[in-house]
Amino acid sequence: MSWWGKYLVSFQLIVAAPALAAAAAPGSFETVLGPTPINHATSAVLTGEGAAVATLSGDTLQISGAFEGLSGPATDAHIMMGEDIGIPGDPILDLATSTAMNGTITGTFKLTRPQAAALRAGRLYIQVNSQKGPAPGGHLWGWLLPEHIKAGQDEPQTGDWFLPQGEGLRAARKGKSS
Amino acid sequence: MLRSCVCLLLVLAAVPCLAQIRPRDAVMSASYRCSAIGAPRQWLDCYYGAAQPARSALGLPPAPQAQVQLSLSPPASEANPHIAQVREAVMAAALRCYAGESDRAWLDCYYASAAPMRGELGLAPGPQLASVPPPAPILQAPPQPDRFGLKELPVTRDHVATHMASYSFDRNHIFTVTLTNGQTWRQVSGDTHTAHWTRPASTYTVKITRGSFSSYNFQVEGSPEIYKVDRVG
Amino acid sequence: MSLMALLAASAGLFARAGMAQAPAPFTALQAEAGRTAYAANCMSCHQANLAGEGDALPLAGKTFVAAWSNRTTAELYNTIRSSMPYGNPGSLDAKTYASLVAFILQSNGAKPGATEFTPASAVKISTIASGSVPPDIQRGIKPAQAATARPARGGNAADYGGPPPNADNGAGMIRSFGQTVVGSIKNYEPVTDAMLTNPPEGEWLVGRGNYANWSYSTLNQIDTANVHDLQLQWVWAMNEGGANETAPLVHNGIMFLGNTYNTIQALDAKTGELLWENRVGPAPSRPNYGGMRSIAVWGDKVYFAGNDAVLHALDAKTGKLVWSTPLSEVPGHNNTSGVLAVRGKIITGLTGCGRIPAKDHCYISAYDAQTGKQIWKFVTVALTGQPNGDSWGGLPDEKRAGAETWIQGAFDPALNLTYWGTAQAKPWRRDLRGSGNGATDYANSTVALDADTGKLKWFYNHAPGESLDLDEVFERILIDHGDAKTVMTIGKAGILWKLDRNTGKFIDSRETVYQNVMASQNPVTGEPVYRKTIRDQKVDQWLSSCPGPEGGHDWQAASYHQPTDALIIPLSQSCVMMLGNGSQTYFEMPGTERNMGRLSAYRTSDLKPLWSLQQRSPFLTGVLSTGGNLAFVGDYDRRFRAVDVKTGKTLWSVRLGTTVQGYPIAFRIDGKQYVAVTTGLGGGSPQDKPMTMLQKVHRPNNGQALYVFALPDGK
Repeated sequence: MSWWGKYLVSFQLIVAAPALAAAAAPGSFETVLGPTPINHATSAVLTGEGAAVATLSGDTLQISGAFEGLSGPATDAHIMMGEDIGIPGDPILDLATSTAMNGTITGTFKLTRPQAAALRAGRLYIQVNSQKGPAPGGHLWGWLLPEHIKAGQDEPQTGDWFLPQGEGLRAARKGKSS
Repeated sequence: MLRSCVCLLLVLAAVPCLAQIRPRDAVMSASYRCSAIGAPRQWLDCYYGAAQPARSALGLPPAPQAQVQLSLSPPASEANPHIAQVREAVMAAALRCYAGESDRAWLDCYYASAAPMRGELGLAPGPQLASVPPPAPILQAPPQPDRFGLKELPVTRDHVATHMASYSFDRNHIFTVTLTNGQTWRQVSGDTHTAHWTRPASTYTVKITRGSFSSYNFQVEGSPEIYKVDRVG
Repeated sequence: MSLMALLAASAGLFARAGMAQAPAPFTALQAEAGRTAYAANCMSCHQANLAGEGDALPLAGKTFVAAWSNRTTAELYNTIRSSMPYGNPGSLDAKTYASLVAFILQSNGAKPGATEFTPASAVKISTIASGSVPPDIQRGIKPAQAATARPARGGNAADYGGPPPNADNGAGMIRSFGQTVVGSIKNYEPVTDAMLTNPPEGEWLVGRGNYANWSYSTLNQIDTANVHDLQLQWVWAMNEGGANETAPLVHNGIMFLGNTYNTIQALDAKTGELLWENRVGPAPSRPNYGGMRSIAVWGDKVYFAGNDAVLHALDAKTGKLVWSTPLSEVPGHNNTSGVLAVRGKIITGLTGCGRIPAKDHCYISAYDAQTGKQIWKFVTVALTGQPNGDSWGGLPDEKRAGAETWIQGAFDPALNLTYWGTAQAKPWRRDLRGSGNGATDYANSTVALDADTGKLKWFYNHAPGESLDLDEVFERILIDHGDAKTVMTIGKAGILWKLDRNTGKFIDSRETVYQNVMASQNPVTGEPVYRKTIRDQKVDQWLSSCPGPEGGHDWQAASYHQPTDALIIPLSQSCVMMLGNGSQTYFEMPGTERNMGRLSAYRTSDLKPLWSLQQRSPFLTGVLSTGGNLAFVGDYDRRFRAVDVKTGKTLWSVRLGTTVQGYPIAFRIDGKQYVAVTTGLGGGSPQDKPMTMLQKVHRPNNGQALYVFALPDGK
């Protein structure tokens, strides 16, 4: 398991222990941070990875994450909102971040109704900017999606597995909600 | 060189370029087109007419004009499923004729393949194909020239055992032997033994083994003498 | 137009002309040197008139300027240097890259000046280049003189062709062509239609195993209990260079193997001994290009389509060339689908036919297997006046380009129909294409053709008005459920489709990876509708596309494991931001935990998900499933593995010389079952995306080979 996987698990044990007794609460979200869009020129520059978890209790969102291996110190980090999962947008909330090549990201916010709805729809993502990957392109990003079982490296899942859109078009066609 | 230039020009002109037009390919091509015909007798005539390129290449009398005409311009008609199956059986058999080497053998096989349709039409059977499954393919690496004993290349085999095809002696009674495998060996000049063969060559069984210092030892079965020989062909 | 508006427009024109008149930071000498360097290194992909094609972006004209006007000359230099030549970036010297920038700027109307261009020159491109392409560039520059291994084709070579690859084109250095080894196989059993319709167990006579494209072998000697004992039997090093994406065939104990450089070999399938080889040629026309995704056997011949779109028939016993037929009279047309032998006909696709003006368009064509004569041709673009000819937004026919066929089709002997997938219309982006919201039939479609005449029976467009290089061109798999005859396929967008193969009617579909391009789907017809920002696209707008052009799914074929009704699909997971000119930046697909590879199994009767596994590296082979309940697949990171078809659990794996790429097969000789797979490089997005995104996965850029495995004797 990669270092961030262990991080996600231990964070959940420490902070979200009550939630483990039941199925994953609808207010639990997580993301893995990877490079913002790269091409052949920038692939060597935008190094590093990270992870974060987010818990929504009522209208309070608590975010905790970490990153490592950046090619230059982080400068700032934000929660961003786009049109849909995988579609970039603009910053809406500022996160506290270590200004180093390895560090943490934290933040606690009171979300407005539209922001909470956007979170549940997968439209919010975390972006970390750095000296090597400044805004607006950024350095690392990852979409906040509901906590889910992961088909890990070489670990098959049987039955329905997680896709961000759920059953997507098929559900809509058959008149079901995903 | 000229052929490849001509070939190139044909390719540029978007015309199929055949390194060598094979009559059997032209026949099979035409016979496949006969499948437009559903009526069994007419189809059979078309099938026979399609053989014309092979007949022509072999210098045989041409197929009847009506049959050839059918093969050039087969009229479409429906086949019932049973007839279609018989047709397929004929074509499958015809395709297997490609295993044959000679053009004449191929054509005989082609005609013989029509047997199922002939049977369907109540015609006297033509020549029958023996229904023997084809033998397993012989996969050869490209034939290595037989170089056992010849000087230029490293030796890879230790001995040859076979019969004589012929033998002769020169005026010094040095023998030259040709074996049934095509190899020719000559006794080394100065060899101490003298051969005295009198029987027909094929009655002598010969064994040649590698000796020391790149030499070869020649022995005839039933005789104790060992002769020194060199391979000369 | 009012006088004021006219004045304003004229002032604008003058101002732009004035801006373009300002001397640019390069010299005429540099631009001249750049022209020569371009011809030698770039022209084969980006074309003689810099108009580009597909992944090779346009380098001159309004599309280029729309993408680059707000960026600087330094960025242009860095982009070219870090990514080109394709497959060997940064391999030219700095002076050459500088001269290429000079040439490209000049080709966009920039005027040379007194200052030499250097990498530090960071001038905003809009201040020096208007996008006005000089006439000599529009006509196309001449190809550079270069040694050719084969005489150049005639015709308009300057418009479409390009010089042979330079020394940097992969490690392959094959320079001599022709038959190198002549065979003498005795007792070769000719391949009949009956054998192709019901392939004998233990043989592999059709690229994807059978006419239904199942990539499935009934052999069960190797099974879930003993696969962990699988051993290497022999390896055969293959030609380097080009794109190695092939499936061997095995018949009568002979393996027929297509190599890059348009070479066919016959090997003893048991021992790996070479029986014959014919390097028909030519060399790949551009770096890392030219898969040969299927070859065919029929009668006493072996058939293949050269990447230069010439169909060849070789004598299976000797390897000698029997006939050759060009698929096209248009230079620059290619073939990567390979060929399908059906009832005395060889059916094949066409690529490289996506340029405008569209001469001849793209088509599927059939040839007499005995003589090579063309029997029929089906143009995959609906032209003006034809049925569905009104789906191109009124574009004139010469602008209706694309709908290439780069994967071989399937064949239903009972219905006598052959099923093919078509690629998207060109250029990709509809705003540039000019087809408006037109569906662009029959691009992105399943087409069902009468195998005897090539006439269209039905078609189904899976992505009307496609805009993001997400084509629906891949394998069509024929599956029966009782009396229901279906055809299934999955395209780059990752949507698994199920249609009635008699009528083309939509039955069902399911997304297999995250996708954000299609927002809705007609519940009856299944027709998908793009999300609004894609429908409303502008040329200078970056659009997110999940999946990106790697897919989803690509040419690596799925396998239908008939005993369990499971379709096992190799999938990739990556997204792009794409600009109107086709420029892309890549990012990992959300919700995948940075895993670019996925292998998923679905029950085809109801599309129920069965199992799925993810891993960092994408899978670059098709899947082979077997009667031993195993599925074999290989990946970018050199691993070839066998999984249990019921659970997806890996039961055996081995690390090979380089990326495992191609189509694995199974066969039996003398009672022993073998599994064979190739390693390979080359190809487009399926190699390019992981090369760029997998920062820590390394694999050698050589090592194309065939590996053959079996159980040890006695197991």
